[in-house]
Amino acid sequence: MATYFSLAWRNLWRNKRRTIITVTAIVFAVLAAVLMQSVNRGSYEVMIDRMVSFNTGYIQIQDFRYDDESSLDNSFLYDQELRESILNADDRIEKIVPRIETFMLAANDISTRGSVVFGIDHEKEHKFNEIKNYLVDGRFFESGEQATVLGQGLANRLQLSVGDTLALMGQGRFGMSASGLFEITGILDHPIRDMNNQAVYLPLDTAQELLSAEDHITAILIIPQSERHTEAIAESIRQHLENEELVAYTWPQLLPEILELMEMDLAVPRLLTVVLYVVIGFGFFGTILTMTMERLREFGVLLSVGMKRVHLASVLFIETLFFSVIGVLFGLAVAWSILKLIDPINLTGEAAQAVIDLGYDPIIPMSFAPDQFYIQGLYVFLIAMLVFLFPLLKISKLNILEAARS
Amino acid sequence: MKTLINISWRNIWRHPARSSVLIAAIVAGLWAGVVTVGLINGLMLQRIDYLIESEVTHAQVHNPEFLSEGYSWLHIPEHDEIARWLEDDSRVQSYTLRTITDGMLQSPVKTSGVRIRGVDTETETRTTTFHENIVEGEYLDSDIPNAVIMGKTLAEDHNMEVGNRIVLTFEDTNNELTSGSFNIVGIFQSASTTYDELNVFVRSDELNQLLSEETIYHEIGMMLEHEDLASSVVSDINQTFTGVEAQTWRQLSPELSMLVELGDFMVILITLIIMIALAFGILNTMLMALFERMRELGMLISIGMSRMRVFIMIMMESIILTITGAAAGMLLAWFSINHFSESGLNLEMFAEGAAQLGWDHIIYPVLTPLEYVVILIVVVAITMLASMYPALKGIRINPLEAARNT
Repeated sequence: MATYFSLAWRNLWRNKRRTIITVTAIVFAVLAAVLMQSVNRGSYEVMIDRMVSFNTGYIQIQDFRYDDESSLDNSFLYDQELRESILNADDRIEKIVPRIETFMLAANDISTRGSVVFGIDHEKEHKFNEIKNYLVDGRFFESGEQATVLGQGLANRLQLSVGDTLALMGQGRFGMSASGLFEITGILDHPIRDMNNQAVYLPLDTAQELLSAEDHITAILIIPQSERHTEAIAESIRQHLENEELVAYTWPQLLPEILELMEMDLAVPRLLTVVLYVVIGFGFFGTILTMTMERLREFGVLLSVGMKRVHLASVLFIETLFFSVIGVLFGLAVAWSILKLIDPINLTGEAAQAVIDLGYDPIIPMSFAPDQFYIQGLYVFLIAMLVFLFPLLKISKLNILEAARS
Repeated sequence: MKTLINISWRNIWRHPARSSVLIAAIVAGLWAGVVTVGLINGLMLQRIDYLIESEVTHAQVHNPEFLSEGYSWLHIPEHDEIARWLEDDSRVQSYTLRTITDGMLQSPVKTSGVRIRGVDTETETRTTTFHENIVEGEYLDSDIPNAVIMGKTLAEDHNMEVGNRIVLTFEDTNNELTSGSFNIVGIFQSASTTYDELNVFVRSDELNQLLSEETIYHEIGMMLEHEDLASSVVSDINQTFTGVEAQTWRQLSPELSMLVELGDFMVILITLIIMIALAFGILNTMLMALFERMRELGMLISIGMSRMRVFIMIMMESIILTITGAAAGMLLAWFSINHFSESGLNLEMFAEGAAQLGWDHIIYPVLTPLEYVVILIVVVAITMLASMYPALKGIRINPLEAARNT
């Protein structure tokens, strides 16, 4: 066996030019396949990242009735004991962020708008999603202040600016009426477009008081140390949580529509990836076929001096393995570097304006999700192995006399 | 020259396997390019048509402030005259008037902010296809008074179903809050869950009674004989009437203009990736072929064939191969596009897991003759470029060394 390996290895370096060409073919195939995935997935990752940061969190703990009926009546008590029991449930939890959320009317002196009111712990919130960086005017409130920060869209529609007073009216817990006046300390350019026209942020304790929901919140967002721990942490919380009325959801459970939309939009790129594989396959085949032709004489000589076909085939197979592995690894490295180099693609002209109008940055971000690297690497490897079956077949049928003469 | 063509022709048939693989690669590349562009075109057109036909229409007229402010007193002045003008204009196929206001939807579960769209069922169904989005119950053209239809996601959030009642609260034209109780007669599901969450439909006359003493409209949507007429109709309306602003579908919907602009960009990007794969497939095969023929070329040069002639000979081979491949590829691509543009291409198998594919999972590819020509030119140019390098390398052979090599 070791002989085969050293033979194959030497064959590889005997004709450097040939090796380089074959490996390059694989490198470019991997590059094209990874690029294709990355371009198509990048925008979705940005979208999901925003939704997770500003809307759901990676894991969310709610009252079990809240999903069905998201009203304040289904809020829950948030105290030291609960905080500790959650933090103790899993040591991979980075931090926890409490929120109370409800729908209220926001008004200036003449007109009224619907709004979504969030009571937040602004320090914890900022550490999670850097919300303060989105302030376009003013400052964030301090806890306990009778103050508010609202989305720019909403502020414009109500013609309010920093220093003005915002009136909130609605229903608190168990039907208590809730209303109050709040000084606007800041205006926020909310990264989620729909929220920009609706979001009103209040200090957590102020919101709880307004809504007659002292110490109650509607959701706890859990931030894992690393995203990949999400499922595991959710599982250990489910096991450790003593309060049986609380449930933990992960973000895919909370954002099914977006994931579904993503699946739908990715169907076409997937089909195109298959088309790409066809092109890659033919490119390989051409290279390998010509390589085999070039080496027919060598094979013929080897066979005629007594090498068994099985052995020759094994050597060739190992060579193939070397080619493919080196090519794929190189390809992944090149793909990664090129992605780093072009990420993000800046849009210009009308395309850029169209994207800005929709509330996004005028860029096409690249995805660096690890799975696309190893999955595409594996697929190209499999295509390469499949195509390399051709020389093996050729050997098994080779006419020694003719080959040695060619 | 004739001799050269003759030699090239014979060279091609001296290696039938290699030549056919090259032709196959070109066929695959051309086919891939055409199918990709056709598919993305088809997908974009379908989405654009859907949005135009179901909701946005070719052009709309508003009070200039209405879209940004959304107050119900910002209605269209002299809507009767505009309607008469539209009636008389031969470019307009149909039009419909809508009464729109922002408000709140209250159910026993909770309250959320919605845009309330009052439509005239008769002209609306003639102008748009939105009524086809009903998934449960019926459209607004029933006898039930105060009927409302709402999106599926919104209905699920509120635990509402057909037959239930909800309360809509909004400001009338005098800024007084007013409410009305409405009966859910139908549930719709459009292409966008966000849209479904934020819009409900009622009859415009019933909404008008609550909103104002006189009949007011906020939006006129019109379908034209052809979408290219949009900008001329829009500028005519803007010149003829004061106090209103007419806009084309591209100005109205940032989603639509993003689809148009970004769609073009994505076509280029993805085609580029596939073409890179194609170019390197061909380049590698050509290089391999060249190395196999080193000895032969060295021989030709040493017996006195000029290097220029060798170059022309190699290029001639490439040209013949490319033309054959391109013709065959074009034919194959044309058949594929024709076949799928009639039967449609079902994307269901390319969606992962249980994701439900929505309304556009069957794609009908579209390709203009100009695009066929452009793709043909691009593929031929890439192939020629990819064979240029090996040909140049071929004439730099040192005949002595080459003739000695095996």
